[in-house]
Amino acid sequence: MTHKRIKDRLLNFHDRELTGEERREITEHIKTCGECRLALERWELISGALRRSTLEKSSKGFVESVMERIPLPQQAIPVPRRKLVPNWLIPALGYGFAILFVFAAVSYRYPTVTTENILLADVPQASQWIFSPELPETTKLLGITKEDV
Amino acid sequence: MKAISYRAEVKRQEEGTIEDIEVILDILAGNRNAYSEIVRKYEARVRGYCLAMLSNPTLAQDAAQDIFIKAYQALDKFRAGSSFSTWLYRIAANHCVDVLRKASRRKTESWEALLEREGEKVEALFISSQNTERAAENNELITKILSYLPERHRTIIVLREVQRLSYEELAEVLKCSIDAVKARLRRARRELESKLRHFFNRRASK
Ligand SMILES: [Zn+2]
Repeated sequence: MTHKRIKDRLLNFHDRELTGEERREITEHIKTCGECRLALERWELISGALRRSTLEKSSKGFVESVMERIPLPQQAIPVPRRKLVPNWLIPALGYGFAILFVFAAVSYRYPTVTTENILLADVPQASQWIFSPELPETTKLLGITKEDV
Repeated sequence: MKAISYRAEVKRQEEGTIEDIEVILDILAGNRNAYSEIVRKYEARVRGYCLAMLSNPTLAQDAAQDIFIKAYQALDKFRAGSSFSTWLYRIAANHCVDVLRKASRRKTESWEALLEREGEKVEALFISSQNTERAAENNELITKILSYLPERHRTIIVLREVQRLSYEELAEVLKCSIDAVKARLRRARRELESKLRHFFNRRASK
């Protein structure tokens, strides 16, 4: 490997992410190349300081605080019972009765006239039907006299 | 020796995955309380990630809680066979980016002003020090320095350098190829290095 290729791989060397052959080659190179040796040393110092940091710590009560924020398993959800009266029935009945009421009120004010109503009506005495074998004169029926014509 | 310990690490991770999936199946079957096991196991990692990304302990604490709640709500979408930790990191990475976008981006001081004020401490942190006595102070300084990186670069630097994810894990978290991981990591490191160049140049000239 050339100096440039090795320089590009110095950090992988530092990370121990190279094959055995590449490692050997770089180890040999830095024995004689001051620039590569310094570059490697520089990064080892920086990396060393970061690795010496003691940022990873457990703290008392952390686990408990997290667990408190996790919802408890849901209580048994009551299975909805089938209703005896469906939701739509009551308003439907209400509307039904309302329509019926309006209908009844209208019928009361404007009684319907049917043949049966007339025939079966309780006819008062004054207007009894008179049956006559003779056909009355048309004019008599109409209530006009000859003088009128 | 190294190879053996590497294999042991892989085995440990695989076992971790098997354990995780067992717990997750238990939770999905209705055992809500089993989730506390998951939270306990990943708490430090998630909080560390949030702190490195957000550089504010209160914001980080809230974000870490939110991440675990989001993960719980999405648990039925987790696919067995993949790694739970990378799945969780993916939720964490997206969440922190959201928090950063919502938070005010106003920086109280410029990078140059920070170096002017804290230069010696920064130099001690990266160059001369092996000291662990001032851990709290160093942590604060690290998160402050990281906060000057664009969120895209910060995410990959934190996942690689603080959380120590492998290239493969990074590809899974960031949903990209290994080559894209390498390219993105190279750019992010170059950016961080250029910010600290001043100290290294001083050190070289000493
Ligand atoms: Zn070289």
